[in-house]
Amino acid sequence: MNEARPQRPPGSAPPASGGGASSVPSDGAGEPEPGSYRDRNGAVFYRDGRVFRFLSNRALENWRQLQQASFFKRLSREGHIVETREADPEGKGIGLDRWAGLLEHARIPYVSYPYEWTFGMLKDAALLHLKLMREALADGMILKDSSAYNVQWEGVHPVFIDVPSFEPLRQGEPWVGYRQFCELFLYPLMLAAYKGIDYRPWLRGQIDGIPSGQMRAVMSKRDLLRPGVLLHVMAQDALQKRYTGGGNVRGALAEAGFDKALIERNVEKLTALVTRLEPAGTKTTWADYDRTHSYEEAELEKKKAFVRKAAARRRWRLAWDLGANTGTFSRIAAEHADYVVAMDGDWMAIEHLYQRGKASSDGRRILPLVVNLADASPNQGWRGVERKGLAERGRPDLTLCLALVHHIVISANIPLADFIGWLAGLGTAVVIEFVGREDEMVQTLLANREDQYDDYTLQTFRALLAAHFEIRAEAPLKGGKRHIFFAEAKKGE
Amino acid sequence: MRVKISSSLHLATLSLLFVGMSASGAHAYLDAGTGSMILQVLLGGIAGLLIAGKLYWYRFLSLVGIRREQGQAGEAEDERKARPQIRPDR
Repeated sequence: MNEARPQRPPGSAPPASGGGASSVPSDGAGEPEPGSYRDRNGAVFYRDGRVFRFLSNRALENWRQLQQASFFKRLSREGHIVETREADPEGKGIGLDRWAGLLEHARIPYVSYPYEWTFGMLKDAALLHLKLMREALADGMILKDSSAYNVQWEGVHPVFIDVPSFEPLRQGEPWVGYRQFCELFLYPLMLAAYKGIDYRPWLRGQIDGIPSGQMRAVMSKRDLLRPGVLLHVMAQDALQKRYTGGGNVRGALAEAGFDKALIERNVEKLTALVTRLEPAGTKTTWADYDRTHSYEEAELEKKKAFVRKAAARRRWRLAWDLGANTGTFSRIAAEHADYVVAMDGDWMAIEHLYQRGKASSDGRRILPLVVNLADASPNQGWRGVERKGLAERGRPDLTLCLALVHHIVISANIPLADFIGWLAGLGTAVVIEFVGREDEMVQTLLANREDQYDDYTLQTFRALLAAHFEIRAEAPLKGGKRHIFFAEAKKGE
Repeated sequence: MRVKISSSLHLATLSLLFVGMSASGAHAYLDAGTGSMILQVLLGGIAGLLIAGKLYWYRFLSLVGIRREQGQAGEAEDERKARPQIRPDR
């Protein structure tokens, strides 16, 4: 099962279609998770803002064994596995129909996907998966799949969400999820580490990850000497090709005495391999922006004070920081918000934010994601709803757009009216900064392009903002080169 | 490249072990990939070598007629040989 569970605030639109009638409670009061369809032994649905999962007979038996297992109790207690308990369907008024049991999971604040994660995040998610494998194997269980989508985040802490993936390990069984582990964890990491290639477009383009054939095609002879390439890439691809359409070799393996010691060794070696992987070419234009920003210290403090005052007006459920860079303002928003999703197109800036969050004591409230707003993650997968766009996973009630608008309008050529209209459509309050034409950052952007941006003036900006929002506060910054606004959604917008 | 050639030879000989051996019920919704399963023997270190040795031995016994392959697998092999090599889904 590789579903993810979105947070949907009251009043926002449900998905266009569901995962089939079989996954909806018989009274129709639940909302099926459209990404939860691959494994027929369970189905996730939402009801009254809570997350439930139907279980088949087999899955229920496995769950009852799992919840007694010491490794599961320990990992759940440590927060590595999503909090889960068996729910009483009758008490909840939920009809089981053909299902045998019901689980309730704690809600993940904001669902994200591997194609939005930094290298460090994907690596840590891979290491979590291997840790779960190691500990489950020691207790006679295994994870039956290895989807990276089964790992979600509470801030910078990875959490495994697909509890029914744990199954008893049958004698002689190989690790069924090994190939999937390569395709969704190992190959993307190798691509970034060995070739300096961004794996995110590959993962976004292929929901099942990178096949060994594609991986082999980008490996040079020199790469054969790099750790893991010969066996996990070349040999795996050669054997896959040799056995395309071939029979099932499980019987032969079991008969010859294949046992968990082999899986344990593979997991152990993979752990060592993944631990050593580091991204190649780690210097990007904006990587040290928070040390080289265009503000004098006093002006930066003024900007921070404005954001802090706006954020302090009330408690926010979900805040987005668009163009978050290394998260200076995400951290201010987090003082007054339950959860902050910090997004930036520069993965290195987000990596910086992620690593800093990991080192801090309170890393559970800021989720760093690599998102290029002009080309953000779409609704995709089966029926176009299996993986969701940004807003479909939870709309913000506060959005920060600081030092962003000039990139949207000038770099990405998105009309100002369009951008403000999109923000208004989210129903969010905004703290938004207008970077004027005389600002050196705008001058740089305009240096080598035709200035077709008649709409890019403070007057137009203010008029558009006022048309869609109630402007509550405004202040000049950098001697009037920039202006910062706090505005709230108009009623009925 | 020498390392590549020797590795390919080893893989080729290892893969020969599995020709005609087969058939047990699959319980997972995910296709483990036949090649990936075979590779797990190689990735299993010393324990994997023992398995590979055992598989070679079984293969040897069946070649000299002391040990018979599973009937189902043998039938599958015969059927595969008899069929023209066309795409099975056409």
